[in-house]
Amino acid sequence: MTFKDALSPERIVFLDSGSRADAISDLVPLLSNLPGMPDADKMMVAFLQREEMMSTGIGMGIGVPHIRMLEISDLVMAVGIHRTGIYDYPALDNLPVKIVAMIAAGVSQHGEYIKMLSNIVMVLKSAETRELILATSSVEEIYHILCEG
Amino acid sequence: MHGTFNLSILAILGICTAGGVIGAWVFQKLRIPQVVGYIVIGVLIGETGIGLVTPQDISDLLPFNNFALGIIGFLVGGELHGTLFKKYGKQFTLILLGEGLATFVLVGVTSTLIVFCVCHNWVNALAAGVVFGAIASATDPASTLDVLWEYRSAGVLTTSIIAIVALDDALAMTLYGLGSSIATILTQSDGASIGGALLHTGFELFGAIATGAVFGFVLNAMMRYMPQTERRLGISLGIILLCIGASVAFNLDVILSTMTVGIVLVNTAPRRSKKLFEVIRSFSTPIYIVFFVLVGARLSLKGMPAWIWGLVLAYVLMRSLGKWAGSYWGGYISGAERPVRNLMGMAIFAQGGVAVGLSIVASHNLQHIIVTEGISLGDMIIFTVTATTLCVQLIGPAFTKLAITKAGEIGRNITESDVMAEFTVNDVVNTDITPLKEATLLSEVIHHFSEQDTFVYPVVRENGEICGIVTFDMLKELLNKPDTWQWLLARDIMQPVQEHLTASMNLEEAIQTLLSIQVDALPVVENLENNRLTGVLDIRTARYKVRAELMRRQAATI
Repeated sequence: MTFKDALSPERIVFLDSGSRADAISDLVPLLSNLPGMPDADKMMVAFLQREEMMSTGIGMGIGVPHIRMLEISDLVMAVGIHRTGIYDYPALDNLPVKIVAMIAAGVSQHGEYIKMLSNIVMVLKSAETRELILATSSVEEIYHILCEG
Repeated sequence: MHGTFNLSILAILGICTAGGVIGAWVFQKLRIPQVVGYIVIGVLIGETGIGLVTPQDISDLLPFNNFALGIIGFLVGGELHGTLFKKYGKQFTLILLGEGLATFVLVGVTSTLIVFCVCHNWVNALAAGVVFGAIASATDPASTLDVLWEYRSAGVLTTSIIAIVALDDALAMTLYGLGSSIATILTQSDGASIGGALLHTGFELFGAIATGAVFGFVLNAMMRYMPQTERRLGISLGIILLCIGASVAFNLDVILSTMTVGIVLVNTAPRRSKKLFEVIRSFSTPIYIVFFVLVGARLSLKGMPAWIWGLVLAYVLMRSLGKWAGSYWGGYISGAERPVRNLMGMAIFAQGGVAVGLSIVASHNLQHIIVTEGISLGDMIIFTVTATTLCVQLIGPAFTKLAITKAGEIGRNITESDVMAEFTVNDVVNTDITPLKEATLLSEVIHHFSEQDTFVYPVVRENGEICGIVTFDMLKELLNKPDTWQWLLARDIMQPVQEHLTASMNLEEAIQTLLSIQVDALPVVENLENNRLTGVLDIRTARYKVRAELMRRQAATI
């Protein structure tokens, strides 16, 4: 499972919202509007419940809100870029989260889900890649960077 | 229309099966082996009883009777591993000769004396005695083995009983071959010779063994190319039926030939044939039931002169004494273990198909010899063997049970499946596993797996309700991705619980559930209403506990 399989340029947006909840609520419709996905409210609740348990800010300015739901059949992703950083998104290294990679998968997609999570970490742990993503203003360009890894 | 009501063969089979099951149930409640129940039901619905099953019906069902004998023979053969004969060969031979010859002599002498008192003719009396002696040496393998299987018996006595009753037919037929030809020579009918009789018997015995061996090797060869159980079952039944058909066509002993098929199979392909014998045994019960009910129905005790009851009594007593004393002598000479020496005799009292069959043949051959007014030697043999068969079929299984009880061998042939059928999930559930909370970090989850000996952890909500499981398989993919250990939670990787096991569920059913959804373990809840976790059932631990219980029970019976 790679970015190419789960993401498309239309699901990459630039965020201007200030909070973690706002960022999630901006990204959720990009996924809930896809065919065969649960409605936005239901997904929102699931993402927030997960964040309540423990923040998905994994460090290096990356946030990975992720859920698995029974109603979802295909693993899909949306990416939000926040140039200044989301102020209330706790992270393991306390750095502000600037790249939000949202994942929604089905409950039976354990293997793909784990691979996607690890792929995100692998691609974005390169400081050079993160800087390139944050520097560009084209979603196609960001898509290309993520896919090329 | 003949003015009488005739039941169809299928209706008779139905009555026999259902009636036999009810009879067995009643007798089991009275702690009497079920085979006695089948025979009593047969007597009640047969010629001696209400006549629901007529001699014509029994004659029509002869092919079925042969099929049942074939299945019995095949299963007996399956019990006879070559290693048994290597270990106990001398012992089996001496016990067999001891019980067979002692019975032959005791019954023969006593019958001769009684018949002489009635007919005052030494020649006819001696002829009758020789035939009675030979017939009395036969033991019924079917009802004896049914008792062993019913009470799940295992041990040195059980092994010896199986071997002796399996070989007994051959000895009885040899003695009968000799006895009947001596009887014919004594009564000077057609100048038959002992050599001729021996040749004939030899043909019957070795013919049956050769036929069975050929079919056994053919079956083994065909099974190599048929790994599927269903196909193996089909081809085995086909081969057994062919073997029975060939034996009947050439007047060979059906039990002996199909027993040889079983012996060849179990000794040439023990692993391949293990499942097959299990499958055939699993559906053999209704066949046995009908067979034994028909044995009872066949027994006709009407119109028997009173003096024959004296002969019946003497026959039963002398036969029992012969079996017991002969087995003791054989066991003593061969240095057999104490239970075999002391208890073998009482375990092999049953008399069945072979004796009745030999009596029918004898009655045909000796019909011309008149013993007393209105009764030929043939009639007398039929009457006596029928009555004694009824007596010993009623007491024989009870004595077999007594013998294996005294030897402490009852219940030792239990399998894992038997224990599992008795256990509930609660008996083997692992309650030591601490469930994971939804918010447990992956690093902690991995630590839990390294600390405890389990392949599955239940994940619970704050209120203790189960919401999913984490298995070692799910973790494997994350073990080489330590970057994720500090931010993934148990909730992120758990699998929602799709199947629940309850603590009160039967263990066998629970294991079947695990196998059907191809998982090694599942969480167990108190009940489906409260969904509260009790522990985890994993196949490995469950099997370990079942085996431990099996060994404990087996050790307890020694």
